[in-house]
Amino acid sequence: MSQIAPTEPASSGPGRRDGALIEVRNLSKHFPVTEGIIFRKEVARVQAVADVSFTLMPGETLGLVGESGCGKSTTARLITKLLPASSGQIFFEGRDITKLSRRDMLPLRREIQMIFQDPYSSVNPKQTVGQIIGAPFDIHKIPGDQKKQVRELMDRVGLNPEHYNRYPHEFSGGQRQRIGVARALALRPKVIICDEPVSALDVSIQAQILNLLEDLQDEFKLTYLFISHDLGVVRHISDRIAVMYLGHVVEVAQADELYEDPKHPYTAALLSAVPKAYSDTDARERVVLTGDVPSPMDPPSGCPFHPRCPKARIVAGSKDKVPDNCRDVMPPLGEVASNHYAACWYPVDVGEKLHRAAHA
Amino acid sequence: MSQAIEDFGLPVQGPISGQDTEQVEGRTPRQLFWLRFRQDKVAFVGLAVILLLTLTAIFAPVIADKVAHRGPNDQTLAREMTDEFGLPKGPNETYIFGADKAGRDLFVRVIYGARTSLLVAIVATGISVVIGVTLGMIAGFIGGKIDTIISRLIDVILSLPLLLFAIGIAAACSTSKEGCLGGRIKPGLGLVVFIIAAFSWPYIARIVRGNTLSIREKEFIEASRSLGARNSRIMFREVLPNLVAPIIIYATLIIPNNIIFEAALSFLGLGVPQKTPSWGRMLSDASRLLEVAPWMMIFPALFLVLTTLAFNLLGDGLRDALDPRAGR
Ligand SMILES: Nc1ncnc2c1ncn2[C@@H]1O[C@H](COP(=O)(O)OP(=O)(O)OP(=O)(O)O)[C@@H](O)[C@H]1O
Ligand code: SF4
Ligand SMILES: [Mg+2]
Repeated sequence: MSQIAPTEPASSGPGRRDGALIEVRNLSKHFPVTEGIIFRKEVARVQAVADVSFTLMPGETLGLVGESGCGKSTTARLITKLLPASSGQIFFEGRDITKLSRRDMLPLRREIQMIFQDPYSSVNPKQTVGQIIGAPFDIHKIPGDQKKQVRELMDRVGLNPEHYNRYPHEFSGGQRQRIGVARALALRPKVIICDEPVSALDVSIQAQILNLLEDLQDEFKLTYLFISHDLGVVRHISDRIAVMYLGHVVEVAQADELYEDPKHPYTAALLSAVPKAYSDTDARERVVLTGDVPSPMDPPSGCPFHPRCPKARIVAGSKDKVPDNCRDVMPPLGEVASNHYAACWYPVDVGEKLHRAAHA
Repeated sequence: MSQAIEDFGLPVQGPISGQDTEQVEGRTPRQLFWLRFRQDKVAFVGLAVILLLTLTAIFAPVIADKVAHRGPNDQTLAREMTDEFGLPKGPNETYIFGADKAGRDLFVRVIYGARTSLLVAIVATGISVVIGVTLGMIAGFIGGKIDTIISRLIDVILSLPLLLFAIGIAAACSTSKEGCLGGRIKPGLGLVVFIIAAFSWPYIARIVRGNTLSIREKEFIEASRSLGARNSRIMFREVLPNLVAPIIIYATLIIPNNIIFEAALSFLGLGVPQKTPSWGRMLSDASRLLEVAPWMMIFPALFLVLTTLAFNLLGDGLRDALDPRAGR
């Protein structure tokens, strides 16, 4: 990987791996909060994504989890270049695509596709299914019998090809999501970024769509970045999982390892809230986090989790105190076990009980 | 959630389980619109009146020739249709709507007036739709400084004392044959259309901008962008089809405004040229003879009210049928 810039800090992290399909390095995005109508003045900024690094290896599914507003969708939009990054780099097959123009990006659009969260907003109500799924062929001027190709796609994702000329309002949420899947699949991409593709669906339909995504992955050798706020859903589809909190990636590990042995106190707290039947560890006590998620407009100093962290309170030995380094210094995303990364000064030990701290 | 996870991972259910494939009913948006519109009796009456008026306007020369046997400026019967004091006579067998003060057939003039009214209003509305949609879409879609400029322009025009300005322009340009701005703007139908269009496009632009702003945030726009679509494709293929309903609705609703606008200008003697029959000018003529010749007021006024009412009813019906969620 000769393209790796010399500016790269020497720290090891999950953001460095040879042969990665997508590599995200120190990616940040802030949105300015402006005031004034004619002369806009930036009065604050929302730090939606802060110094995020990770890799996506060919054929794998990387789950990206975190609470609402932690920056998952923004990360997805940065990678698909729907939004310009404030800083950091995005590599696709080793090539820096961060600054590519729309025209230069065009061929890469075929490789990186996206499935959206809201099946009602993600398909144009004024276009027929045929037009929606046919759009990628139009935009990329793909020769051949478009109608036939679209019908094949419809068949593949479980839609009746006869419904080619129907409008989205005639379809259920699950079927609309299949339209979105077919559209993303049309150009035979290498990667599909799935931004909460099942969150808006009925539980009974969720499984069908997840099954479809898995089947398609096998058939077309797809790589997924699978975003969800639902740890249950991510666990089953993901090979590795990255946990986000307030714009930061705080932990990355193999899916099973993350569930069995979470190292970051935030991950541990999240997992403790997942119903027992779906987490392997027995007798996991629920860690109730105190306080609200801080505003990304005014993020805490040091570790972003320190105002709510039970582990920091255990270390400090008091309910109202946290260690100085937690409060002042942002912990780097370091390797705490083999291929297991966590951004924490005091990673959770195996079997350590955090719930007491929260109630101590 | 729990159920999803249980089902998930069991390969028994293939992706093509037809479970939610059945309840699909095959109706296009157009069919749905028609189903809803058909039930709206009031809007239907409006539509019927408009069609009738349009036919009347188109065939006014034929009707005048075959039914009344005279043209709008025909004064051959002027002597019979005015009394010894020069006052017009009321409706009778020959002049079913009565005569005006020059002894012309009011019926013929009223149906010719429909021509003027509809022509001016529809052409002016067409122009304002083109301008309004273009500027509204650019403002809403591109945003930033361009949006600020266009939006302020809209605000300024909408806050102007419209009639006063229109009168000003019309007066400056219509009083002499040479027109104004060194003869670049000539008096006549064209000027009236221009003035009306200049003051009514902001209504369309404002609606279009607002709708564009909300459509722009939809995920299907991002989807299109993530496929690599150009802005032009997104505007014409993704945004514009979603604007058709509001454009039709608001165009239908500003037509009656523009009809009244033209009538007002003509009433003030600043509208269409002298010889062109116009409801506004007829009303103005009638106002001086209201006591002795009320029919001169009644018939043009009746047509004016009927026409604007019909367009308003149709517009409301279209709104209900095209956009049932937009409550009132
Ligand atoms: N265009 C924008 N302008 C300003 N702030 C934004 C914008 N988009 C997102 N944000 C802010 O950035 C933060 C991260 O948003 P993002 O949509 O990425 O979160 P998310 O993790 O996807 O949440 P959710 O689960 O609700 O989808 C939020 O605080 C959000 O308010
Ligand atoms: S660094 Fe400190 S505050 Fe942050 S998660 Fe670790 S223990 Fe908690
Ligand atoms: Mg999101």
